Amino acid sequence: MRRGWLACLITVLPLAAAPTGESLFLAQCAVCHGERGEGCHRTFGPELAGIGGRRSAAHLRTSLTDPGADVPAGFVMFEVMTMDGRKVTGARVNEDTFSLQVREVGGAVRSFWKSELKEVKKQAGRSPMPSYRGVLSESELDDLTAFLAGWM
Amino acid sequence: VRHLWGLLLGLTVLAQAPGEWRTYSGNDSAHHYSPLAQINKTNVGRMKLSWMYQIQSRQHFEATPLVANGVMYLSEPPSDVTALDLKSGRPLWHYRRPIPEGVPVCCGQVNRGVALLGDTVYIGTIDSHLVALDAATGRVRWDVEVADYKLAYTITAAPLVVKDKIIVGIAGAEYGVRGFLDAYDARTGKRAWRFWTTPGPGEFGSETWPGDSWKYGGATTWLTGSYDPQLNLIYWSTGNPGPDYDGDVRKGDNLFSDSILALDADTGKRKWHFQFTPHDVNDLDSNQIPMLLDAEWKGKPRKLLLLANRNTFYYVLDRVTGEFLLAKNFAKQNWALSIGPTGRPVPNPETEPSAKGALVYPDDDGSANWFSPSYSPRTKLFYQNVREKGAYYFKTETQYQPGRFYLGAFKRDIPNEEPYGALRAWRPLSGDLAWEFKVHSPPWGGLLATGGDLVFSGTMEGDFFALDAVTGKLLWRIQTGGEIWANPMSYLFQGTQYVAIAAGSALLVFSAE
Repeated sequence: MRRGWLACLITVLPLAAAPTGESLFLAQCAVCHGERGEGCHRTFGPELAGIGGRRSAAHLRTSLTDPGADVPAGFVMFEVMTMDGRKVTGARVNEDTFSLQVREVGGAVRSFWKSELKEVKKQAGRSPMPSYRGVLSESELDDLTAFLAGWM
Repeated sequence: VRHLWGLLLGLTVLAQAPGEWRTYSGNDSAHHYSPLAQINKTNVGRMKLSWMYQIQSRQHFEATPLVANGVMYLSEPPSDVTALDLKSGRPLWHYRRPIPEGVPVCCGQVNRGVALLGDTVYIGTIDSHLVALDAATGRVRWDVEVADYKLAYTITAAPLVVKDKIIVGIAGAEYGVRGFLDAYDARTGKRAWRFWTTPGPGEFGSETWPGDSWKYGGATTWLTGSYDPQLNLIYWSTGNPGPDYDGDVRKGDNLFSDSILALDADTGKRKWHFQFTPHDVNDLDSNQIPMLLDAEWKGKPRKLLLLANRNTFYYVLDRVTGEFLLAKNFAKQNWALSIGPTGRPVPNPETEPSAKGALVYPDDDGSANWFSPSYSPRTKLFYQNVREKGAYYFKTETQYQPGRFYLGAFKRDIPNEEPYGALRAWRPLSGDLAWEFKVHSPPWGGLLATGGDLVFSGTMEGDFFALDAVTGKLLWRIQTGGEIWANPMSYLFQGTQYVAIAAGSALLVFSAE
């Protein structure tokens, strides 16, 4: 059974004895990316299991402090305005020449014909993920990066 | 007897009934145009699926089917052929070719189509054979090896029928093969001639390759060409030099890579050549469709050749002499600082792949690629699907090993770039844009203009749609549920016009009845 985003929130189990990088991951990242890095319902964060095999340490370090620098497909934020003046913001699930589907925070998917929209704004460089610059110390960021980069 | 037979074959080719589609590009001039007008602006909105046919392979379905004598001849990946009944869409016969394990192929075990002459169907296979099949039964008439697939020679393009010969091009330039173009006797399968696309020592152009670099020089011929029966010339485009991105081991122009060749159809001898991208280090294969058009050029009737190149420039050449007439940019680019008066580009040194990474527009998939452009004699517009995308290229060491990649760089996409595509319609003699229709992703499908003044196209998100060929206005669309990696075509069967397109793993056939 697929878990909802709330279930993701309450299954985070910080492990006091775990190495620093892993405990930081569980405390900071698992809420959106899943405690096994499985990605949570695609509601928030992309899959991180095995991320060390897909992304360099430098790329991962940048993603922690500047998550908008390279937003993965499926997590690009959009703001659209309908003809009757409603504003909808969410991560782009899919887009083609004629239609757009976005997932709002909370998981609801909204689908639009582009011809029915007054405005479609891609929020370039914006990620649903917060920056950890100043939230974690430099050595914590290094530990977390090392943990992610070593996840093969 | 031989001559009489050739004459009869010639007549068979000429005797294309209206509404048939007997050759990959629709006609010898490669207009990829159907004169059929039954589906037009007034009824295109009523287009409905008539039937569909599903293939079993998960490889890209890149085929353009042929229709003749009331039968559709369709190639399926990797190298199969199916004859389909036009009334029911049901198969009449299959040719299933077993493919050996481990054929080295850069871009999928795909096939773009078959050729048809008289009662024989011809297919080039991914293991580099040319096979002749009985059009009535699918039984093999002959099967000849074109080249050794273990060296990474493969065939993905539809062969071209020229009189009594079958012209076949090969792929493999990502593996350091030496390119060539072959002609085979249609009846016996005996090779009539071979033109090597990299010259050996002492041959014309050999000074453009240092040492033995010509042996691994690529310049492959993996897209169907065109033919001018009056001039008796075959026009065939060539691909990148090998290694793709490292020019250090092959200083010089590297003839005849990234070129268009005009070859005598009977002998395979070179009449002229024009090289679009000398000493290419960005994998800018010129394997695009060479379209032939007779038109008035600056007040004088002239035989022209039109080609929208992967390198972002649209070229007009005199196809009698190869004289350069026009180059017009049609997509974002940074690799050329300018194009000189003879058509020779001035390359930008900053776009040569480097250790720190070079940003290049277009990326190696190009602004155009193998997918077909279309020309309508009614609107007098040239239609081209255009890809707008760049990438970074990081130089790496590479050494030739038989059957292994021979590249010299790796590629990385530009973070947060939103590549896109557009169907652009321009005036063929000036390259001036008449209109464009933007699509979400850079496309991999070709175009079909029709006598009903429609242009058909497909997208990577599975949309198949028709535009007003005059204005570019959207008139009809359907979501097919599969990526479109093929050219649309149209035919007439029992008085009804049909439009066919491969989408995902299905061939879809529509009518407006």
